[in-house]
Amino acid sequence: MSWQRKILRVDLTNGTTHVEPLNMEWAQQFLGERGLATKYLWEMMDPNADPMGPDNVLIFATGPLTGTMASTSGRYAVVTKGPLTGAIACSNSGGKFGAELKFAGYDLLILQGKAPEPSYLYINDDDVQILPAGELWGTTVWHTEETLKQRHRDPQIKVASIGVAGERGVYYACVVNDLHRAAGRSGVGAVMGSKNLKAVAARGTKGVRVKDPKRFMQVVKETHALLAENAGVREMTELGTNAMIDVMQDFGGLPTRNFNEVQFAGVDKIDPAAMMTPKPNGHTNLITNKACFGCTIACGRIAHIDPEHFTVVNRKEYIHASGGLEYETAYAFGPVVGVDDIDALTFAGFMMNEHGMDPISFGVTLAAAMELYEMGVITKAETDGIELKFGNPEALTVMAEKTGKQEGFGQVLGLGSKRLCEKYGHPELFMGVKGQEFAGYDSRALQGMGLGYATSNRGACHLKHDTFAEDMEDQTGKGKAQPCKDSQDATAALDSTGVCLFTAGAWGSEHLARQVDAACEGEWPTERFLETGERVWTLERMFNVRAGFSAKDDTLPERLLKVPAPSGTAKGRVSELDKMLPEYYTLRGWTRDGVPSEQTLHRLGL
Amino acid sequence: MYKSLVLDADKCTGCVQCELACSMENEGLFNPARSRIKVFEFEHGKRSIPYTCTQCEEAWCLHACPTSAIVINRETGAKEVIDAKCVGCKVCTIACPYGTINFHSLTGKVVKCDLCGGDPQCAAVCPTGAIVYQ
Amino acid sequence: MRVTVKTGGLLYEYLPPERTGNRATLELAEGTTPLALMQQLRLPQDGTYLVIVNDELVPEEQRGERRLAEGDRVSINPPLKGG
Repeated sequence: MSWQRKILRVDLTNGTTHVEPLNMEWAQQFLGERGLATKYLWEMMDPNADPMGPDNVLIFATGPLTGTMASTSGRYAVVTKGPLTGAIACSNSGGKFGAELKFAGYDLLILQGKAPEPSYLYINDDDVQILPAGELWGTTVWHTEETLKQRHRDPQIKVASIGVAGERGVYYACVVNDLHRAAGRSGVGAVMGSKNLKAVAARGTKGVRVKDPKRFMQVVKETHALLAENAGVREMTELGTNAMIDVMQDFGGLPTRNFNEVQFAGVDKIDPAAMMTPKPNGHTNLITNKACFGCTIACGRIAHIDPEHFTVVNRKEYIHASGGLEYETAYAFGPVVGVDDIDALTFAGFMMNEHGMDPISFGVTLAAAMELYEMGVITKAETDGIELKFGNPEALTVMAEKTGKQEGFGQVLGLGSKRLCEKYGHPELFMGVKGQEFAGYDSRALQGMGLGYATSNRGACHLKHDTFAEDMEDQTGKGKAQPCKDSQDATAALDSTGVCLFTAGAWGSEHLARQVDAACEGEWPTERFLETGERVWTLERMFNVRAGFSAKDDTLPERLLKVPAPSGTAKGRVSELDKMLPEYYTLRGWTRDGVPSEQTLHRLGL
Repeated sequence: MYKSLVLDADKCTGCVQCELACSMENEGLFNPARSRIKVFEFEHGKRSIPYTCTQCEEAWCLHACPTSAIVINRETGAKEVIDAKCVGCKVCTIACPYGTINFHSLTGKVVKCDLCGGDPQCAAVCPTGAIVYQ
Repeated sequence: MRVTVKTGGLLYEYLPPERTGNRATLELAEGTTPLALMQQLRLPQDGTYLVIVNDELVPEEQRGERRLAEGDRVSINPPLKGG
């Protein structure tokens, strides 16, 4: 119950598919989605394998709550070895694709090998076929979704696909589903491309059953109410996640111009108020908010570009509604590249979705390139004649499109910031951890965030821990290790259920455990739920240890460790990672080199 | 005057909680493919529009049924299918101009919204007031 | 004395009607504390807030002590989480 008890294995090399029972012992240990996929990955592949080679394994995983009435239950995770980082990658996404895959009867879809020719996978309940991608190869995500719905004569098909960026190995290519939701980070889309797999089209009509429907519906009623009553959730509904940008601006934690600054003068032009306010010509950026499957929050923004804007003035095909700015996209197309033109930001967002790229990594990579350009290291001869300066909206929009299509300088930007900075002899300008670029929070102003970035198993990431409250209360490294560890474990457990992290403001682990307990076989008290999270976190870490990662990789760029924040509430501060990290290892039961001890592994049954 | 389901597309976010609640109430599992209410989406999610039986006065489905398997619930005004009488001929699905009575391939009978006997679950769970029973 | 107040999230709902978006310039009695200002705006007392005065974080225990001055910039924010 709640699990479908079936996994779908696809061997792309041999063109075979088969259905096998879900290992229920593992399900009881790792729950689902992120956790269960990590266990399968761990058992199936050598962590030293080439992430872009046929030996890498690509897993699409739903959770036990995916497809149920638990709020935000549309999520699935893509778990694989990430090409951007060389570490384990776990990117999750909303929209409707994940629930559809589950309704087709599968907890996990496991893809192995490499198709001899560009292909896509069609799943209609028990009917599973590997079909030639044909002329779909080389086209966009948006074109692919539309074409597959037409080809299979079913508008209810849900599609997860890659664009040219994924086909051509952009290191931060993502898997996009439902036009503008994405498993965004670490280059999971490039792995899909390396397997010659353009898309997965799913249609499911089997539904999902829960263990105790009566109790589950009662728990759901209560947990829906908790979300409805929560002020923070209401903020997400009405303003979107971009509400954060005004707060980070005043706090002085908003990375600006490749982290040279922490506040951005143009923030008022790209914040939620700017999205909602009509321009002099009457155009308003924001149209409405939009929910993912099962979500009672609806933080998603649907926006459109001013028809008079330079990006679309002769391109009518982009004068329509689509996914609008969230906090991370506003940051990555705004402050970190110094651009404050809201239509340019919105256009860049469309490009990311249409071509399948991670906005955070793209924006921070562009920021590094801009810094190198201003230093004179990169010249106009290389940038296809574009003035690659901070603040130039044209540089943002043109490069977003070129990178998506892998044309001209876009091919260099497709390397990601780390490889780009190394190529030009300035590795110190890479703003990220383990090869993955930072999200929109500066580690000098938010100390716990820095520790979370440094220790995240998929490279720099803001979504794998939650120390916002602690960071805003106290700006030293004191007392950050414990909440960082605890929230990492709680988040790993949450990510293994099939619901969205944005419930965390209203739901504690006890609320998630109660929903899992009513839905799933076995008993799921909060303690067991949290221990599952710690087990997941530790197994991810073990994957990375085997792949060659150690304490030396749990670090931050010198710019954050040595150069004091130039303004804001943290003016004069640097990241105190050196104080937090040893404390964190001790709390985790890891050695000084960041390796989980035998004792810790034994305690967690690993 | 009977109460009816008032659908306001301007308030709909497309979360499909209504489809989930409907399928649980009527089929005992979460399955939008078996829901009697559907949410349609247009232009990248710009519009999300919930849609189900209006329990219309004319009740073409009722008049078309050759076995009198569709009757009016006196309490709620809902046009309900009596499973024991339905032979699955699908004439009602042709008669209905709104396409809101459908053939259920597993049971071989037709299904439609019955207002959950006066407590429609789609309205009970709708988080935005896009579906109201009044 | 006049101070400018900027609010985060939906707290602009507590600013006086003459606000511009999420900002307002307020005339306050000399020596008003951030806490008194928050009470004057009728912000829910059980809420958690992030208060910043002129780029300086004002922790909860200091909000009743620190005196605001002419021209101060006060930023009051709800406890948002990241996205």
